[in-house]
Amino acid sequence: MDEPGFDIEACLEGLRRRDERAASDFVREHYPLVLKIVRSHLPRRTAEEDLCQVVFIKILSNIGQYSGKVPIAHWVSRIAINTCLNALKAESIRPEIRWSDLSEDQAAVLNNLASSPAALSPDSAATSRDIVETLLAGLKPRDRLLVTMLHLEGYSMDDVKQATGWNIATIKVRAFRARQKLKQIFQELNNEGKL
Amino acid sequence: MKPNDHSLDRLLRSAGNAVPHAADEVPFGFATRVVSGWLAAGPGDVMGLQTLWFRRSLLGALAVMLLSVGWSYKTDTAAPNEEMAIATYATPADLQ
Repeated sequence: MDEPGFDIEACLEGLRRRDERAASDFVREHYPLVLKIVRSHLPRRTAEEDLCQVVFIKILSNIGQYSGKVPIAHWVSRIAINTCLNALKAESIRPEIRWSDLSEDQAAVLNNLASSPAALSPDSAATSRDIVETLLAGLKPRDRLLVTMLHLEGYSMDDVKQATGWNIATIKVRAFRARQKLKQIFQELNNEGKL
Repeated sequence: MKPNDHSLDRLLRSAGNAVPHAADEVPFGFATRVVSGWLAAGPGDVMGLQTLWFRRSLLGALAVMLLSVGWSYKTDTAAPNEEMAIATYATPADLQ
């Protein structure tokens, strides 16, 4: 993750001395990673830049707890994911999705899914992503996180384990339950569309 | 697998193919704001650790207190056993 020119050890040493330049370098180096995580798990009505800022302040404030046992990118990922989870938990209302809330494109994609067994066209990818994100808003934060990582971002179980610190059994069981719940929400939406 | 599973699978596969947002450059002034926030927050989460320590101490003290109350209730209400009754009977009255 770290660029060849970036000396993470020197940077960490600087952070422990509370060196501002080291902090700026650290932020610049890890911004793409944090932004990617924040964008994937962003709660509604939260500005991504604000959440990134919260994540980085947490990381820098707790840098003394980084033991070096795991790569810094994994440690940063865990803090970013936990911060997003907390933000999602704070957003306690999980909206109920209605067919009438869908755009024309979204309704067309769902009708297409119901009428044809073929894979959706590549043009539909962005619309499909919007639909899935809307469906995911009905899941609990951890379930939503798992579905996003496993099904949308192509993480393996091991990748999820590294990024979250959860064990494989927990990930499997929770992913299964999350999928069941997602299926239920999807079914209810489709039933409403048929009325 | 039911048809609905296939539909959901196809929807998820299609959504997974959506082109992710490009990794943006750090916004102007972002690093400065983070560094200011970090410096303003002070060194580490000292207050958080203290709160955690106090909370654990309080819970520990509460557990000990409950155990003590439970133990004394048990000993106060328990019927004296046979050996205790004999000892009480055998103890001279002036020593009791």
